[in-house]
Amino acid sequence: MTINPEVNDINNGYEYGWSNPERYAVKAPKGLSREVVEMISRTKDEPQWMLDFRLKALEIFYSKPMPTWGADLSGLNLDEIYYYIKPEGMNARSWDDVPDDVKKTFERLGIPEAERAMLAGVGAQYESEMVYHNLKEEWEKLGVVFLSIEDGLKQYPDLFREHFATIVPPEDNKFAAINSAVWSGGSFVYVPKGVKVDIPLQTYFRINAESSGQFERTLIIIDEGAQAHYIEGCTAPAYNSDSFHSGVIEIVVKEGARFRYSTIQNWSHNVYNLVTQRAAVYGHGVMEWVDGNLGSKVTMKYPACYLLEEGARGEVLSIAMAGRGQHQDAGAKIVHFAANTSGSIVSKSISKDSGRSSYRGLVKIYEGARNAKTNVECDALLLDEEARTDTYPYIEIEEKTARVGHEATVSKINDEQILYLQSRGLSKDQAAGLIVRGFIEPIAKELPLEYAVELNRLIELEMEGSVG
Amino acid sequence: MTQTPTTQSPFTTELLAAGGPDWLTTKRRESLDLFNTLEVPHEGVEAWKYTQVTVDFNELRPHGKREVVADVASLPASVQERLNGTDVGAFLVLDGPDVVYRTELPAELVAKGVIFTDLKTAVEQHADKVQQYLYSVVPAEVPDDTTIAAPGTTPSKSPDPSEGKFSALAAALWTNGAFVYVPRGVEVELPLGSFRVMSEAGTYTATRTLVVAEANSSVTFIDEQDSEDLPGTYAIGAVELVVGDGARLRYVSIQNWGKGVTHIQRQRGDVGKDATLNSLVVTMGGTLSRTEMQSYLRGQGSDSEMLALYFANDDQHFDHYTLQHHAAANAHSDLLYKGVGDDSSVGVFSGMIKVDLHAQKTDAYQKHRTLMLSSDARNYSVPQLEINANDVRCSHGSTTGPVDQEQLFFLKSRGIREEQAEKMLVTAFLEDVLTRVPLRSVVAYIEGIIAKKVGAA
Repeated sequence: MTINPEVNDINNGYEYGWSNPERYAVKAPKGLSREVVEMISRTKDEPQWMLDFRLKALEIFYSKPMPTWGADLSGLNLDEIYYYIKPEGMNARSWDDVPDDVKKTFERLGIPEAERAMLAGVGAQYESEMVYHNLKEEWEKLGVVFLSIEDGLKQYPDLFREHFATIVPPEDNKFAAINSAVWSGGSFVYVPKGVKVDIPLQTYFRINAESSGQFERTLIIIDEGAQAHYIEGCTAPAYNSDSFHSGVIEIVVKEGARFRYSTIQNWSHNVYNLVTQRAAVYGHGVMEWVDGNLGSKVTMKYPACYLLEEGARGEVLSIAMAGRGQHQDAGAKIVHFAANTSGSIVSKSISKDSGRSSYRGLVKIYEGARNAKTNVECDALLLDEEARTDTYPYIEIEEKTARVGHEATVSKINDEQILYLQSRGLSKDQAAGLIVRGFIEPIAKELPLEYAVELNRLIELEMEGSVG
Repeated sequence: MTQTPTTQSPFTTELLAAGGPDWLTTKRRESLDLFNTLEVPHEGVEAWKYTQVTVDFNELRPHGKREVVADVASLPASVQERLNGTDVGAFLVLDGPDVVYRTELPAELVAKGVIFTDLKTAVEQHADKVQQYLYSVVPAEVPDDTTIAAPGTTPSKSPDPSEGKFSALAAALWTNGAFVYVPRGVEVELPLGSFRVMSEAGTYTATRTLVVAEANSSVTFIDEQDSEDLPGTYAIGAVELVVGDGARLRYVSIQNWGKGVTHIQRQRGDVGKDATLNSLVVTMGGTLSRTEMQSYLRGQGSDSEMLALYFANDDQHFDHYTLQHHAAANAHSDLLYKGVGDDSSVGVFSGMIKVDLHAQKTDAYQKHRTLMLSSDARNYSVPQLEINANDVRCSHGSTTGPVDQEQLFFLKSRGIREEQAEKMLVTAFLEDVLTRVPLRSVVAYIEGIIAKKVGAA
């Protein structure tokens, strides 16, 4: 493993910036083309309908302009990206079968250890493919399915096709289209009726090669009355050239089901992270997104809940931290299609140096969604004079019984609080760290303990020397 | 995306007819050239996302000129009625493009150097002052309010050039409007006002108002618009408010056009050090109404209070676009916009607080509240922040909901019919804004408009 010291400065202390030598079974040529798409489909031995789907999506991608309403994407050169890199050794069910340096990578990230300690199942994606996927036997016996997306397509073709691309169709946006064309890796999850998976499933995403793209596709179906929690983590080496991550996450929460999807995004600061995440929530189902964005150069991500039937509920907890050169354009969408649906968005952002955090969100209530209500709360903390924050909430109401509230505040770290803590013997950095942890606590406490600890640790790392 | 200018612009004749000194003619010509290069803002333009104007400029003809009248009795009945209740110190009445009646400023104010006249006259008689300030606050193009951010941060969005489409038209073709000039240190106690009416359907009118309050002066200006129903009629306006250091300016616009009128007006204040701009926007009339109220807080310690109330019913489409741009430290701004949506109306509120780098100790607040009375109505609320300084207090809130059911229940339990109770609550909801406006006769007039509108709803 090599550390890339020359890029260390842009990543100020990013600790996952090392990389492995590149050894791959298949590496597509640079850039996007019909040939690359066909090659991916061929390598995966896909049915014709999927190849057709990919090619159609490619056309849609070409036909859509780059979005200009959000973050600055002018630095993203889509011709310089490798769209498909297949690592050696694939989809093992035992870590022993995973190639050595890849296994070491995940060991260094603490994944196998976490799996033993606290997870129901683990998936690990390296470049474009899942190198490891395993579900503990007790859950398998209950009919829970936790597979790579490719295996999901092979083993559950009907269930797959019933839902795939129905929640995020390729027409949705330019990046959903590119993902639909070149998707590779990701998870396929099915939790049967009434089954409650009470410890999390986790998938870990790692980009290793320079200038590479990762386009995972995840489809999760939580059947009636079932429950589950899925965690996604991501890191990448620090390179001078930019990498590109564009995932599509589709989730179906059926009647009375409950599902939580947590992300701790910690890409290195050379990654463009443009992700579409959306859940369709049916009668009295509950969908919760916990979205932590710490890494990447530019993130555009707005987890969405489409509340399709009576009583459905959607919640989004979003936390973003932007340091020098980063733009976290994060937010949430709650769309009410049915009566008595409810939603809640809590967003907390921290900006420092010239980092920029933006909240961008949508609350929409369609006519007929009687007594729908959603509340939005955005708080931004600015750590120094150069930090910046924005709030762009869109509230669209077509129903007189709707109740929607939105509040946002911007503040800095209170000098008096710092002084008080210093008088109790804390250093200035420690004091600031404590205040920041207090600020994000409402979200950190919703994570499993280990992740909350990790989140706090990451923020502490980011905070070092950040208060003058 | 821009259209190639047509060789014969539809407005060349009007431009040539406008006359004036060379500098103004040049400015008008440049503005028309700009207008011809710009598209009408489409829904992809963030600032116009929820409001589309369809207009065929080739079909537009100017509102006819009306004869000057000798006395109030010869004015339209609605204006007479309005003038009966007013306490303004002096006023202009415009019917369509030009002034048809005026009262003179009290002699003591004239003696102090206060000027109140129409803009066309001012161009002739106070050329230096007009040339200094005209177009300085609302130019032909959209003002560049791109926030100033730290070097290295990702850039902010700049306005789309098409946002200057209508201001370019207003800059090129304005026929007349009010001009107010208050010298340094002079306080004008009674409000000054302009009453604008239109009386010819299927036409357009472009007007421009310029109010200059020099350092430490104070003045109130009331800008009222009222007409019969006028299908296919356009009122394009620009209002420039120059608030010198330590000055206090209160600006009230009351838009009560008849059905069929499209009202598009950019109102902007440039607020100096320790100066205060209070604005109140009332929107009740017209079929499509787009009112921009912008405060550019240029000076340290400046202050802007921005109030509005509106009630949209039938097929009315009201769009309020606001800006609190903090360019200097220690400035304060406070916005409260309250609106009601009934029938199949559309309400849009898009409000932005911008804080530039180094505008420390900014204190900015923004609140938008909407009452929805009908499920056929639409309400779009977009309260926004762009903050580039850290030692600030900035917050905003937006709420949308039905009439409070508990209050309704309470009133009903006191024997008041539901319909009546709802009207009482709607009235109270809107009049709440007026408690912050210390202008008795104007408030009474607005209350009357509210009562009419609520009663008819």
